Amino acid sequence: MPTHSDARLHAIEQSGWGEDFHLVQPHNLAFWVYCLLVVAGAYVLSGQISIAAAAYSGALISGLVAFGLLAAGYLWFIHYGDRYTTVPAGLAAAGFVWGAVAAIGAFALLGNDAVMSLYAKAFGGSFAFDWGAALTAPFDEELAKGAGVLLLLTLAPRLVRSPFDGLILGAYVGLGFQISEDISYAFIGAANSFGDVGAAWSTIVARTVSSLASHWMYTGIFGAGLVWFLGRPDVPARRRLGLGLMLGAMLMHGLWDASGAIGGDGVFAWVVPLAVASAAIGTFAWVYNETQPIEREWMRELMAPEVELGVVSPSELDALAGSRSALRTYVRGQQSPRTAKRVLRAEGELAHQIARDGGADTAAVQRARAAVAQAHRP
Amino acid sequence: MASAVDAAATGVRGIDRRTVGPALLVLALAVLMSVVLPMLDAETSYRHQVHSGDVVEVADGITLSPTPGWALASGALVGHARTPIGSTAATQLVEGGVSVYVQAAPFAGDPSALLTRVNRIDAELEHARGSAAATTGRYPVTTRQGLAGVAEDFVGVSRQGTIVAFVFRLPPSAVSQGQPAREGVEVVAAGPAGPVSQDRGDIVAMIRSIRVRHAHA
Repeated sequence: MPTHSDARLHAIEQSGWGEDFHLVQPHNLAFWVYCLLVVAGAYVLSGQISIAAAAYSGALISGLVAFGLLAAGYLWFIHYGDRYTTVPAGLAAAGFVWGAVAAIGAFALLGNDAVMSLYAKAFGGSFAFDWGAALTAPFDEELAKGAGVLLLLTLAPRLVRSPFDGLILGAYVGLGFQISEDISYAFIGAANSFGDVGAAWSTIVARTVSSLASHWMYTGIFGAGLVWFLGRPDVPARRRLGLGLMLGAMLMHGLWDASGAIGGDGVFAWVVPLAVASAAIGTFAWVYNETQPIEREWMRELMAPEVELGVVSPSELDALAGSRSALRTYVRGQQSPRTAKRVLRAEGELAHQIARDGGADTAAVQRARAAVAQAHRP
Repeated sequence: MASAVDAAATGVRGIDRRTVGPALLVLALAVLMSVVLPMLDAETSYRHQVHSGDVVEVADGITLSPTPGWALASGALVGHARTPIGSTAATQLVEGGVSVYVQAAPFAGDPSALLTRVNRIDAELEHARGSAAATTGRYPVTTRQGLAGVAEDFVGVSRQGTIVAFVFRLPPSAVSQGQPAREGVEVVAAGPAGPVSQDRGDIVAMIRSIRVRHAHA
């Protein structure tokens, strides 16, 4: 019968928790393709940026500042949601850079223009005006971003171990794409309004308001679907669900882009984007809740020996390995919620340290245990 | 180290065979989008020309009648598109190597101020691109509806053409908060010298066909 210590080692092994991410892997072809396409994307984007800097510098700076702040907010939010076997910062950064640079510059910019133009040539300008974006972006952009998740999964197979990892990594890739696209829309807004910086700010407000149900969410759903489609050592492949989520992300993206054509200029014009946003948020929340149990189980297996040692209480373990609402309920029920939060934070650090040290009883782990004891003191 | 590399799985030049499939799949996708599709687009011609009686909505309340035989590369024909057209919109009509690009957006000044603004932006863009174009003096243009604008011709290394600027006063709308809105329209007709001269009649006719619903003098 497996002991708690065996279960801890199993959790570390299966989750990849505590592993570092190394982008530079000369024997991994995904590394070379990643570098090649990021460089190609940067080259294409630099042409755009130099034009924007020359003629629309006010709009470019406005976009950089406003969407830089928005990016910081969403990065915090995604990290906040990734509370168990956290995606390492290096892997998250590699995902963000792929979305912001490679997926836009080496895929979507040229691909979108070509396909939109082909629709106009084949079916007429009015058809392309109504449906061109909806029949182009979901394929070009979701596949470009999803390609990044696939490359990073190939670069870090021991770190992307569950659909939850796919969801979080996809969200970082999608956020990079979204912010890069937002900045370009800011100066395109000015360019389309004879250089008016005020038009750039109208674009910034509109893109910020609609930023919740956008690329970071679509690609999060796509990323979880991709991991489910492929399967991982501890997560059997569920191909229909995986494919359904990937196609679902593309469908929601397409319906969002077709909102104007579907809704026309009546009251229905508001219904379509609201319905799509609700569907995206609902699907993302469903995937988030559905993919968490295995991460929680890994947390429970990792920390169970600490309960035996008396470092962590059973109720603290329930809070640590429970949902956000369970965590809040636990904290509120304590005599000193502030102390309870401090203790749980220290226990979270202990969990990360144990994972980093492969389950060994190292000096760093002992220091982390001492920090837990210290946190209990008022 | 979190590497997928395993000694037993190494192939050509030490590359891990397990990484080849996904990496080549991603590379193929990038080549398809950034090389194959643009090449296919460049080789494809327009199948749908505009017909007599077709009208393009260049912005909310502003229309242009395209010359039959030209193709609508971007923009919307009145009665053919469902997506509402706002006050900021772009239209492009093409024929052979010649294009007529129409950009509309709110603008507070007069046609001359709009043309000056457009020239300043063009000069900054030309400077950034290392290109240059010489322009003629300005001359007045008038649409068949009697709306006045200002134009100038330009000659570049490989393209030449005409830029026309109008500023129309539109009826008050919800967007303009009850005030008459001023809408700027920039028309750029450009192409290689021969085709532009050949299409000059079509271009002039299209510019003169620009109309404003409920025009204010």
